[in-house]
Amino acid sequence: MLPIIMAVCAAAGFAAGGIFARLAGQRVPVLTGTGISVVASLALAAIPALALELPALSAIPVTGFLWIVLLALVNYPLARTFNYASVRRIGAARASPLFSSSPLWATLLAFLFLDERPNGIVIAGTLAIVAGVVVIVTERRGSEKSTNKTKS
Amino acid sequence: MRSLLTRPNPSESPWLGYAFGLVAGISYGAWSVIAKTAIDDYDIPPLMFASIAFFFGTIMFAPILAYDGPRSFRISKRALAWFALSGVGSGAAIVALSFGLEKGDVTVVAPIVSISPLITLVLVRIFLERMERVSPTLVLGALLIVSGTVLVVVGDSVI
Repeated sequence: MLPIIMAVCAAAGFAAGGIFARLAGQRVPVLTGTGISVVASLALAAIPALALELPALSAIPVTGFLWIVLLALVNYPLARTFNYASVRRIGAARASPLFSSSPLWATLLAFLFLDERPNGIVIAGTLAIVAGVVVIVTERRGSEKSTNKTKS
Repeated sequence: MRSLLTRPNPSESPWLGYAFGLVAGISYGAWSVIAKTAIDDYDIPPLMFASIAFFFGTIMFAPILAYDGPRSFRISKRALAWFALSGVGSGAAIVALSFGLEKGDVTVVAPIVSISPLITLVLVRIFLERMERVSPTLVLGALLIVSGTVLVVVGDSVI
């Protein structure tokens, strides 16, 4: 039961993160806001990590740290910054499903670089994700058209 | 890059917002491939892994915070507080996810986490009703993406 509760908390945490980013408005530059959010995430995650897994820190080799630097580079200056920039422009409701398309890209990257072959279920899921992205983007265009028509 | 530093222009095309969202999705996808490789190869506990990544992330943003932090603090303390809360939400999510993956099976945990966009829609409906509209089409799109994500995660673990 605990893993399920933790998974629900994680889903709620990610959702709340998007809502708070939306509430931040547009007065502060996205890069500054992202920096503040990363510091806050560090403050929160470091406490349980140091309390529970400190011995693991000394066992990590230099190459392991280099992988984490690469990951941090991809995750914060890129993923989180573009996440906030997207939320700021199209809102949390529309942006959040787009970030969730990440398994599609992970599958594609794993296929290209790790030589992993997707099975039928993965391909079906990929098609559903693409369809969802198309539906959301088209919905926006449709609502804009109707808004424009109303204005004219 | 300049668009990330400036406020969105009202006349700007909304496509930029969608493009940014997809770039974020691609980056998160690359993140999971890198994380999977590194955690498997070096046997690093996910929570420690995430904390070190946050540490390096903080170092990467330090020059920006040193340059723009005081100015942004003068402009809007409230906006910075919301961003900090957003970081707390995401950080708490990663901590919970790490514990969940440590104690449970990825085929159970990952699909549940993927419902996050649906929770976002509910929260938007409750708290951001004046700012955003949640249409049935948007809900359909989110449902398609969530169900597709669940299929990809489950299908990937079947291999």
